[in-house]
Amino acid sequence: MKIGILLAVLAYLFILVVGVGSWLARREKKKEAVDGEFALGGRSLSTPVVAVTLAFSVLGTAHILGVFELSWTLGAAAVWFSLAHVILLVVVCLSTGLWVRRLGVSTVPEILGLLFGGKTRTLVSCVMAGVVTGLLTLETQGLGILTSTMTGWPIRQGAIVGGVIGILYVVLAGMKEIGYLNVINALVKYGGLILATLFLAMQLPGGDFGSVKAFYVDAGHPEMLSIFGTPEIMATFALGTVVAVLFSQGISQMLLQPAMGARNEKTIRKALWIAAPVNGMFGVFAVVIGLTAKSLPQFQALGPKVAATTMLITLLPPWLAALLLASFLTAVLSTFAMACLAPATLFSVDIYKRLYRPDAAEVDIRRVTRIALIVLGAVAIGFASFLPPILASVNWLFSWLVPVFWLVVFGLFWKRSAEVATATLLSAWVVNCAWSFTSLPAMLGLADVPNAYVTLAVTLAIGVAGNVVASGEPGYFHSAAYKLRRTSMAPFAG
Amino acid sequence: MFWSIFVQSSVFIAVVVLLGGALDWLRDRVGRAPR
Repeated sequence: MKIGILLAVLAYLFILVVGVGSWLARREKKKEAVDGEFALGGRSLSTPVVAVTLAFSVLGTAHILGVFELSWTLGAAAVWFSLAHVILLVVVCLSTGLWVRRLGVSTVPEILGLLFGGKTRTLVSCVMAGVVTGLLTLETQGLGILTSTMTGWPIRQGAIVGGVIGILYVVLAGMKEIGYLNVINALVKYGGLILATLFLAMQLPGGDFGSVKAFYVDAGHPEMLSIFGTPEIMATFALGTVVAVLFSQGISQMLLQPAMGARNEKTIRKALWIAAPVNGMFGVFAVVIGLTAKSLPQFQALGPKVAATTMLITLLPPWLAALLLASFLTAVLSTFAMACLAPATLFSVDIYKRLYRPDAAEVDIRRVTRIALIVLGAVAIGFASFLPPILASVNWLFSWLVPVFWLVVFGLFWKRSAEVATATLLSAWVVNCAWSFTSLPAMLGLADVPNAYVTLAVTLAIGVAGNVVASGEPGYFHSAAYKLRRTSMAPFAG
Repeated sequence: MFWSIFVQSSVFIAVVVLLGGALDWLRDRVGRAPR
């Protein structure tokens, strides 16, 4: 790609991000600062903003480069990576997202504090910040790899420039900035993707995807054209992805922060109708592009990692390749920004305010959050430059949050015991680490069983058995403390 | 090929969202959702 086109894409992103961010920051400055103004958009986010931000917070590198690569071996069934996120969004918009909004919390560990006490809150806060920062590093790598494969720029430079724009995507006005930019960029994202798929079809023999279909049928693999693939793929990849994504991201600060900032619960419910298709349909285009790359001999020879992006650059006109690069970069930037804001909020609210400055005002929280997200972004840029194999550790990273999801469900609806909560968390985390770093899975003959299944099994076994045996307080939603909290929140509830 | 994957995915998304919406409506209707 010509350097001029690359610079035009970067200039578009830079001007848009700085323009919208500065405008919002100036507007907010004139108003009186309310609690959660920076991190939660003053809890006034509208349905379109919540919907698009929910959809794009979990649509990043893995949805693009990951699905290109997965479709190489799994065929159309790779779209289950996207469809798993649709199920996730249904659960968030109709359950966990509503709970966090109803409780009026600013962080997920705050709920753990309400349910099981301050120690559990601190423990979960540290672990959750670590998990999201790991994902942030993955997104930073994605920024570098995407820029590199589509323009020939070195990965390190791509990660630095992308990372700087990513920090600007959130540092000027926080959650509102991410939300507004996401809404504006939604058009670029889908416009680029749809036009690229259309032009790609026109470049193929017959002017449609018929030749791609013929390739897989002739090769004796018609199942690669169906999203239901084979029973083995459905049992391992599809179900495994649903479990890992649902029980980790379903309780992650990164995805629930936009729900905490929603105007009211109705806003979150309505957001589902936009968020689910917006996230889910992205995978359809990515899978079709991945399948097409494999069917063309000149790109098949390049292998699954770079075939799709090389094909797009080669076959599309330069202006469309530029639009597509902008589309991919905005997708990764929106995830980068939320992955930066979430751990920064965890630090400023759960650590700084709770442990060191209980009297801190919104202005102090905003300053600390800004500093934290700049530091986190810089660390991620530095770390990503060394290209550690983060993608391989996603399964391990996600599984840390599986026990948190279930403890919140148990604590809200069933029973609250701090001892059982600690035992469940520690057991699940120890087994998760043992599963990744020891030969335990091979010794048990379960080498193919993913971490998410194992941590889920340990969580349910210890959590359910512990709560049955041990005494504890009733579920929080049935407690007097909850009724009191609702009464005190009533004037602000939607 | 494109339309087949597009339609299969769209139908799945529609079914999951509608099912979720229906369950949510039912939960409200029986009045067991905590408020």
